[in-house]
Amino acid sequence: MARSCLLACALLLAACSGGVGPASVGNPSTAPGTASPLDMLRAGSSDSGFARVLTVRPFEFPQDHGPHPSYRLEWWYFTGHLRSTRGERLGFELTFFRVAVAPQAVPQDGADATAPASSWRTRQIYVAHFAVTDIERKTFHWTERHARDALGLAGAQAAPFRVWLDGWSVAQEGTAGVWTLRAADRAYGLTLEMRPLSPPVLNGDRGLSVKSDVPGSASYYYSIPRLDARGQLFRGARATDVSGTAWLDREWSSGALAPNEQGWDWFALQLDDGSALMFYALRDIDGARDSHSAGTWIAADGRARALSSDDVRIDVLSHWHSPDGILYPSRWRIRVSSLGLDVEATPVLADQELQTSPRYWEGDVDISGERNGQTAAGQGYVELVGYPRR
Amino acid sequence: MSTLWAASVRHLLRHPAQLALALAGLALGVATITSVDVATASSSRAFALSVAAVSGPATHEITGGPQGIDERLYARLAARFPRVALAPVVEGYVTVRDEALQLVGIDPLAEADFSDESSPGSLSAAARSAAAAPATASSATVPSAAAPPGVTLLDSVAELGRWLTERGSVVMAASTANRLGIPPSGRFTLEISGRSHQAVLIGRDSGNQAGGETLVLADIAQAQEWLGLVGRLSRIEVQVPPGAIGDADLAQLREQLPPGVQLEAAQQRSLASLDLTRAFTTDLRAMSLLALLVGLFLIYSAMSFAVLQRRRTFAVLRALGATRLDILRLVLVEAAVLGGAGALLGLAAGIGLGRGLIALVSRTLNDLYFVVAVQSVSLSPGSALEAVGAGLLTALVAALLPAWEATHVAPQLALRRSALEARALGLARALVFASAGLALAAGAIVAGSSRSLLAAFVALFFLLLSVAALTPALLRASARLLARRLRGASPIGGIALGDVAASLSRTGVAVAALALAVAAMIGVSVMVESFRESLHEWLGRTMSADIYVSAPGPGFDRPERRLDPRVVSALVSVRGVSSYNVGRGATVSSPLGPVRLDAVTLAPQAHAGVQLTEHRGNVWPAFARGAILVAEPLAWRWSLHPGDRLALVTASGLRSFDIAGIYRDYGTDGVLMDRTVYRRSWGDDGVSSLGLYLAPGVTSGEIVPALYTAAASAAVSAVGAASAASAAAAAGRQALLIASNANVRAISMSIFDQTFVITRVLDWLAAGVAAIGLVSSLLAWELERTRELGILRSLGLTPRGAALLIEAQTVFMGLVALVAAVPAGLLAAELLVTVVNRRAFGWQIDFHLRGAQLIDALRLALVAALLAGVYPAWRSARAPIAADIREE
Repeated sequence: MARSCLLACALLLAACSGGVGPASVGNPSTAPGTASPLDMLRAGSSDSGFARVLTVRPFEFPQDHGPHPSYRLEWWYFTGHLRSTRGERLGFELTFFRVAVAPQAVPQDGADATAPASSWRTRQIYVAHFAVTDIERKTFHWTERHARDALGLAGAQAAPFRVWLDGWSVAQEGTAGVWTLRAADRAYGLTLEMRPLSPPVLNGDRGLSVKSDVPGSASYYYSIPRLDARGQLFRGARATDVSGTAWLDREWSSGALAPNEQGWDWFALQLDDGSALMFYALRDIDGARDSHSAGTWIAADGRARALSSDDVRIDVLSHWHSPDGILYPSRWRIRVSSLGLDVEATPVLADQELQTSPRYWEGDVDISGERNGQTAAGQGYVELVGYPRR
Repeated sequence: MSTLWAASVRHLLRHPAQLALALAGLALGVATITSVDVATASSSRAFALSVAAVSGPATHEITGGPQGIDERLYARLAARFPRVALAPVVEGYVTVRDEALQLVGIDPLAEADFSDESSPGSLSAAARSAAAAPATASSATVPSAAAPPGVTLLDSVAELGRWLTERGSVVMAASTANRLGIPPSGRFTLEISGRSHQAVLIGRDSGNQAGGETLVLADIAQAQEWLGLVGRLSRIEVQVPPGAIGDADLAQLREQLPPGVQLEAAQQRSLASLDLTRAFTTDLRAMSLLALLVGLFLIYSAMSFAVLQRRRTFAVLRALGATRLDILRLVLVEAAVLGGAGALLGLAAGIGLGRGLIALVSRTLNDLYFVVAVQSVSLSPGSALEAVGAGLLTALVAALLPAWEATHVAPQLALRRSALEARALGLARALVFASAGLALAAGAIVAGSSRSLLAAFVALFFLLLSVAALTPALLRASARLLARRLRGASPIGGIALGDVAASLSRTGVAVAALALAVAAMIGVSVMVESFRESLHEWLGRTMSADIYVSAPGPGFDRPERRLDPRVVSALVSVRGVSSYNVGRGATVSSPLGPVRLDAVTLAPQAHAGVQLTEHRGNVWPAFARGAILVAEPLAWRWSLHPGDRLALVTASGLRSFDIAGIYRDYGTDGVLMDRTVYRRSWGDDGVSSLGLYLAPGVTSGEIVPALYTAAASAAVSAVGAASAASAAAAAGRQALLIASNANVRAISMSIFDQTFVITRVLDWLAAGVAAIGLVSSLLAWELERTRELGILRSLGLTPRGAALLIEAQTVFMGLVALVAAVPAGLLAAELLVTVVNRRAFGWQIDFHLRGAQLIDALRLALVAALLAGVYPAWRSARAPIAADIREE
């Protein structure tokens, strides 16, 4: 999914901007707009020096759960739906982005050869988002964190699997096949044991997901559409037992969106019958859907089927105005005639916007409708990126 | 009533010189007080701003000893406390194009997690909200949120990439870059502890943020490498939410800290750093108090003359039916208006003068303590009020006393000059007793108080007042005596002196004023000279080594100022070096506050250089075992004595050190410790300086080139360069300050003199104030006497003779003032040297007096007296005789 690029770059910006902030002499030094991450992506600000996504490659696990530092961008994207023992419903998101600010170092020319090098030297940084949709309390809460891949502050590894940033992590802490998620901020904390219920599903062409006609504007992309999740949710210091289902999206790339692409709407639906649907709709600048939009249908038995843009029809049923004047679509009718699927996705809460830079909407949705004439229901996550302020 | 006011206004307008002098006196007094306040307040504020600019929204910070904190502690805490925002900082002082700047190494990623909510008033918060507003104006095709609030200098991924990956990348304020002449993306050399490093300016901040002018920002990795602090952090900034959750986090955080590492509130640091400058600010404060003293006196004399001069007018007004209260009210209102105007003028002038002082103050601060750039002149409303209040109050009191006196005599009596003089005579006699009383009180105050600086100043004030009180009687007695002697030889001279004695109400006060000013000047200059001499002797004794080697840079005790160990071993093995001292400067924490620590390995012959003022037996064996020596000022401040213990925060936690002795130190108010003990306690192997003793027959001049060669070859062999020539040119070699004993002494004395330039400036300011006071009072007197002169001139006195007569009178008064002032000034100096200095700074200085100082005083008295006579002499020589007589 292209969202990794876009988001990660944007987040990176947020990181550095805040960055010099506190310590700083800080003030805007360039006109707004010139620093837009999208502009930067469009300029394709050189993926030279990075590995590029051009051809199909074999995926190997667990290695591919780990980082691919020769690519510019990568993310581990966990979303999920939980229910407490008292019946409260919750949605959560924990995402780790890895960004290489420059291709891996070439050996230095020896200017400071005798001086010991600082352990803080790195070209890889990590950004993480933790969000909780507390449905009963009608609140949405998010936190953003940044750290560099140095001194063990943040990083990722394949075996045993671990991705972390400061105190937030998803890691195999004991038994193989069980990943423990830990995240906490000032309002919420989450500790979950997650077990993948299926092997990774490769999206696109055997994991090669092409975003535009520009060479390299593509990513390697796999998902684990269902992970069993159980553990504890903390509201401040008070713990509640929770359980539910999570989704993992994994993607890495060095490229950018095409100049005519503005953003995307991403859907990850988990239906109660065990099937799942992933679809991303790329939006062109003129508002129309881009033909490179695509998705994957995963049947209850785990068999996956790629979906093209034409396979999926999405109608926006209503909108939500963010406090900052961004108009987001807010309810959808999703139809895949080839699958006999006709469902509506309704946000559990209108405001699930992360006010990061750029802002984006990533929220828990309820699914209801029918499949092949039968009632169908489920849960999902939707991500809306690249909507302009009006 | 309106007649009264009209009379008052007309009087002042008719005597513009008088009005101007009164105003000038008031203004100068207030200005002197204000200027010192401005200088100290502005530099403190500049420092506080630079601390705030660096700390940003942090609520707390974690600090360690001189070696800082292990960076792994940061990683551990970051993983363990996801709810607490933490940011690492590495800092040190650097020199760019001869300007001292503060290098701050940060991790922008960690800083980004700080929220500004907890400190809405902070600079960065202001910068962020200012930046947030225009961020919406981006083109419609991109998410406008893309320009995030607080976008600062690194506004693209490419720039963050440069920040993180390009060697030497730094960011600084545009104003700083312009001042240094560094263009965007410009490359420049940055010097740290004698080493040159290549830097490139990748970002400039166009906003002029207060406190940011002395900062150079770099990535934490770069700063660690440049400062030689790889693996260490200077501190960790902490931000916790306010309230119970934050307190709980802090408590848990504290538990995780290893010994020797402390968590404290963010403001603590700036306070602590300012504490180090205590001696310096106390010094300024003392000067300001002296200025206040002289200023008050000046205001008093200016105002009381303005009132005394109108005794006659008041008497007429009272004869016309005005009540005492009317007159009193009139005088007070007038004094308030004059006082207010003068004080405001003084405030403005003081701020102007303060600007001049600021340059001196900040230079001293940079040399000795920390890098600070005073960009804005600030004066707290409190001290402005204080200065204006002092001026106004003195003006009122000064006016009240003579006004009360003038209104409490029968009107027809007041019209007679003789009544006033009779009264003055009586007063002069009474004042002799008052003088004795004041002197006794001064003695009693000194004897009765042990530590109070205020009491010492009160005693000083009493002492000076006692001189002032004695002066009129002295003047009268000596004038009469001399007049009797002269009568036969020079009738005119006899008349002139008799006049002086007879007009005691005028001359007495004028001479008292002059005596006071001269005494104050003698006191201050003798104190400064005594200090200077003591320092000189102390340096001669302490600087026992022949050659001193150190790394250049600002700040005495900065951890980054260290000598390359290879250079150290090369230097001490140069032929001709017989033995050496090794020193390491550091600032460590103690429960009582920060302590400057000098860790030394002393050659045996250096022991004699440590001048112990309090000790038991031979301290050196105990010193080698871990006991410490405490410098006099610190011992005084914290009441430490041999046998006490001082607790210091070491790398392994709080540890008590035995105090073996107290030693004289005018340089720092710190602690002397054996370097082996220091290394064991703080794990710091660094060497800040070397003192080399030369073998007999070897001279500094011979050996210095050899030392440079040895240092250079040590660095060359370490770099392993192919040819010596190219290696010599290679960057990264450490520049050294190698100076002979005499050189170091000269440098130290010049630092002292620089510091005391301020003192001298104030000294002359005070003298100027006194001279104006004398001029104003003599002028009033001489103007009154124009009729007598007219009579003398009608009897045949030439204009030249009249001028000479007046000058002779003023010179005589100047000499009498001097006679009174010299013993008083010496007493004041003694008080300043032994009591005020001790109480203010804790150190003891020896009394030193030079003839030149007394000659200075003589010069001041005579110049002031001659100047005071010039205008009246000129006037009376030129005025037509008839007009003079008619005036009365």
